[in-house]
Amino acid sequence: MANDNVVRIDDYRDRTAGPTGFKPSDHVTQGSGELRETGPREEARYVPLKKLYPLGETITPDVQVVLKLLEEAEINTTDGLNAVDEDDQVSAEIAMQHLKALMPELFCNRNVGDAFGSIISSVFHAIQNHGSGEYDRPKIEAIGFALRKLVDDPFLSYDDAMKLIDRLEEAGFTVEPSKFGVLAEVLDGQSLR
Amino acid sequence: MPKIDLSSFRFERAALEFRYDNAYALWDRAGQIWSEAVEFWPSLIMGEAKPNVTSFTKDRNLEFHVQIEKAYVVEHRPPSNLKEFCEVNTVFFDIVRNALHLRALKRIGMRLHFFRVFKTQEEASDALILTGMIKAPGGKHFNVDGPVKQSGYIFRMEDRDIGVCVKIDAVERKVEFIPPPNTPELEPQNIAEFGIMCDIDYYTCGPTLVNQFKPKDWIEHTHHLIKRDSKVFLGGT
Repeated sequence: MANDNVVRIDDYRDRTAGPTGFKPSDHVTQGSGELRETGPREEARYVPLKKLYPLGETITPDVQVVLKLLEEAEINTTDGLNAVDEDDQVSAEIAMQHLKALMPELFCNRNVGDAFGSIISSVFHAIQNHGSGEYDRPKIEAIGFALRKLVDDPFLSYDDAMKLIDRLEEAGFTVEPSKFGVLAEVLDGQSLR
Repeated sequence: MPKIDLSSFRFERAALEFRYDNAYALWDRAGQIWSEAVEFWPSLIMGEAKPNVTSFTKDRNLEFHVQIEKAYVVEHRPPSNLKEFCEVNTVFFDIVRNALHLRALKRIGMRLHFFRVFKTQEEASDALILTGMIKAPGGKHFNVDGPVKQSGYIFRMEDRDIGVCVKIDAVERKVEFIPPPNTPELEPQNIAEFGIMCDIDYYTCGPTLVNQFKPKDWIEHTHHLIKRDSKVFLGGT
């Protein structure tokens, strides 16, 4: 027989706090048949990486080198966006080529994390496979967003990295090496028929 | 003006603490945490095992604590390079964050204790006053005409992201050990020690994503900052 006095901890937990224990900052109310949000969800402000690891000296070379290179990368994406806004495809492509040139050195520091390495590799192949195609704002924004995330969170999880890589693909990039499709077919056994 | 250099102090204790929202998963996963820890450090000895508080010690100089709202590691008399402290914290943090599914840390703090021995508490107090960081009035006050037996000061500085608290005191410390009655081979101990205690607590003021925090890097950065800037608080420039 069910005991009405027993309260499921999961129900209580679900009602009062989110997975991290933070209370949700927005909630939906219902009145006169209309659903409306009471306010925007507040973004948590985290301690910036540069305050967490403030030293200019390379006591930990990988983190410091990565941050410096990502700073340069951000300048390139900003230049690319400005060029696209001015309808200057030549300058946009130059900015993206400069950005692509930073990726190998960033990839050399992939011991920062597997997820970090995956994103760098994806950005590199995205630009490489794009070739001489036209850049638009969503494409460069997707790259800029991924790289900015790495500035804030270089040790991000693989799941979070996958979301960023998905965003690059949704923007129209091909993030795998160009020969990857052939290799996939071989592994599938299709070419052995 | 005589300066006291941190290099003349004995490195007494290093502690790294990270705080998080109440991690109720501890009630389910305490066993997993400590089973994994024992695989890394087979000499771990259980200290406390209550639902909200668990602790182990290793080799008499390392303490590991995991609680509902925080976890911390303490090393007593660490070497100056904090090498083992960095290594154990890297492993311990990974075990705890994975077991408790932590995504964000409310606060990260590293606290270092240094101690310099003097013959008497008055000597320690005089040495502190001579650094010029505090001004002691001379002569008779409150109808008391005697040496300054205890002196000290505390500074806390914070910006939006990081804070530091520096506490420097001339202190007397006592260790008293009274052996149980059925142990005639053990001698009672009564040790008194005088000196200047330098206690520096460096911490974050805002939340940090778990993925941003690499214990080894953070400990090295913080340790370097403390060694570099602490001389100002000991009368140096």
